[in-house]
Amino acid sequence: MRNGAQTAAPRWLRLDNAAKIYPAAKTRNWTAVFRLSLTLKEDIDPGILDTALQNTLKRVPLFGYRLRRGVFWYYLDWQLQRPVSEEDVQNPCGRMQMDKDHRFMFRVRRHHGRIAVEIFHSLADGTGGLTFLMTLAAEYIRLKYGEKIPANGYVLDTAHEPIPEEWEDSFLKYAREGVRGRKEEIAYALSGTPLEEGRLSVVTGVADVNRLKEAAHRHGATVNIFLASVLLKGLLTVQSREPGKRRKRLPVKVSMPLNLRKYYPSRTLRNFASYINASVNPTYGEYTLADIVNQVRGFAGMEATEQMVNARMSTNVAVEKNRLLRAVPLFLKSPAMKLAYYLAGERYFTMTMSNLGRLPLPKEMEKYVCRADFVLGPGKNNKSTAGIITCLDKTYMNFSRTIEEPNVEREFFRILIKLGVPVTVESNRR
Amino acid sequence: MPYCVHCGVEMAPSEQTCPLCFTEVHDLSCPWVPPQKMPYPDRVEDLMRHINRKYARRLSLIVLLIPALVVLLVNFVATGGFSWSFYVVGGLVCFYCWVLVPMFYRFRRPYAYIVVAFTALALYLLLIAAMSGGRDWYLGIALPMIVAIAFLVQMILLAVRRLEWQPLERAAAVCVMLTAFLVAADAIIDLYFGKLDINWAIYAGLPLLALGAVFLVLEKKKGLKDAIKKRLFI
Repeated sequence: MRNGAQTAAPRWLRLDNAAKIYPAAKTRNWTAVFRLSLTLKEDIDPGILDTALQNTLKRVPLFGYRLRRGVFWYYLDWQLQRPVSEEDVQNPCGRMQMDKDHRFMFRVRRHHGRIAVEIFHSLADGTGGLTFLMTLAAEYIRLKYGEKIPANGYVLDTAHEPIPEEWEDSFLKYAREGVRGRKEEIAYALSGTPLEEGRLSVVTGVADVNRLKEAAHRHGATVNIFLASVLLKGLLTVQSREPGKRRKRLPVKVSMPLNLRKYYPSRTLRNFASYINASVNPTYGEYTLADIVNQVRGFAGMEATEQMVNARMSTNVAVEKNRLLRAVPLFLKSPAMKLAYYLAGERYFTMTMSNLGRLPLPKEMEKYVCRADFVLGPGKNNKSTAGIITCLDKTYMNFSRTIEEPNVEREFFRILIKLGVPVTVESNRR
Repeated sequence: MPYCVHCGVEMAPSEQTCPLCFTEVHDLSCPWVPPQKMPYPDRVEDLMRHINRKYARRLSLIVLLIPALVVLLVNFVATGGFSWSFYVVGGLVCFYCWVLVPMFYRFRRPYAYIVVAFTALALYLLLIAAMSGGRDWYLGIALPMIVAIAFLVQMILLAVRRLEWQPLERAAAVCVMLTAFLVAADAIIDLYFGKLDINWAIYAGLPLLALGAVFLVLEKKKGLKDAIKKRLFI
């Protein structure tokens, strides 16, 4: 089907700085995918959802591109195709087949009242994904119920034209000259019995955001710092049960993505995020939760400053700008980047915990929406990830893993319960 | 909704057992019935492109069997028995063990593979020795050298894989092991020629030991290490 929605968007785009590594790192069974979903109170009408999807794509043309191999780099190529939604599956965030013709770098799935968007990380980050999902949901509500949702926050007006700033590479725009080393200590890696290939186990814990805030404030931390500390504490417990001495001595690290839009006035929907790796070293002694909170808070205070995140971002941009590297053909560059991803991509953290914070729902939307979820796809080597989002008065903590043992989430939720935060759990298990 | 007695979490209506500890939870007043709306559907997407390892193993075996059988047949037709063809067949078995075994069998750790590969090599050389009347050189030099090299490789792998050691400590361990191997190789060669006189291994081993010592000192002296790093701009 033809879309015909050629807008002001360019015919092709270079991949942004953070996006470049993912196509090279993908394997025949793995791509870096994350999933955002919004659940409406009533079941989704597939026809209306598809119409809403076409309208949304005209407003957010970035999602209309496909990934192609160039001589020196992968790039995004405009395509005149029309995506359609599909029924949801039990194993979300599966590999995306973008190498076939006319494949989008995202897919829209529906299940009862849920609209889920699964996105390849080379296309957009969490903010870009949320903008697409919220605009799609708002358009769906407009078409289904006739309720006009005003453009606000993540919701864009589908009647408006897209603006070039939405597909700019903000890394290039805001990077400076100062760079910093990327070398870090190798982190403890979770082990376990692998699930059948292609399967992903998702356990969602739902907690009251106010109870979480109370618990966090009792520890003198923000919810994000508090949850990262609880996760580190849980990981330390899991690590202490490891049989081998070597694995027990490695530091436990949680990678926390940072939205760079908080530091710079960027309107891009593409990747514009950095990260910090908070860690605790079990060889230094026993840690209470208060100790970990103090450490993570201090570390975040040092690392999450504009100067530090800029230096980290500028380091990556400097590599991209290296003339020698640019001149190397992709067929040589790609294996080198794959190796770099293996050596520096996931070995420096035990797991990722990405917290998108509170989803700002327009008032007009609140009566139609009941929840939101954020599921991070599995890492290439790391066995478990956590995606967190708050919608209305609930926080949804999604743990996804590629091993049988739910040890990390069990320890995490048990700590929360001990701290007086009741948690309701559900899963995709049958 | 019921709570898990182990984890303390409340279970959503979709859960019959606790997804965190797999404990079955019974609410006697309200037995579990699957809700109309499950959080995820039953459909499982199968997007995997599997490499059928079993098939690949069989195929590679067939591909190797064809030249082996042809050679055996030609040898038999030409000489009325089997002689030189065993060299080729043995070579193919060695190739299989060295190249195809790591490709088609999953080794969680490389140690078993090293044993397989070096055993195949030892057996191949035994075959050559048996067919050419070379029992002396086989037992005197070939077999001890293979054992020594296999042992060295295993030890180096062990050292390199010890992540709690710093890189320079691992390099020092490798230097020490190489020195020990050189001494062993010198002794094996000397014994084969009838006189134990370790000499060249000392000249080759001492610089290696010195290098290992430098690595260890560098590791201990952080300041010096940083200074070198700074100068070399690593």
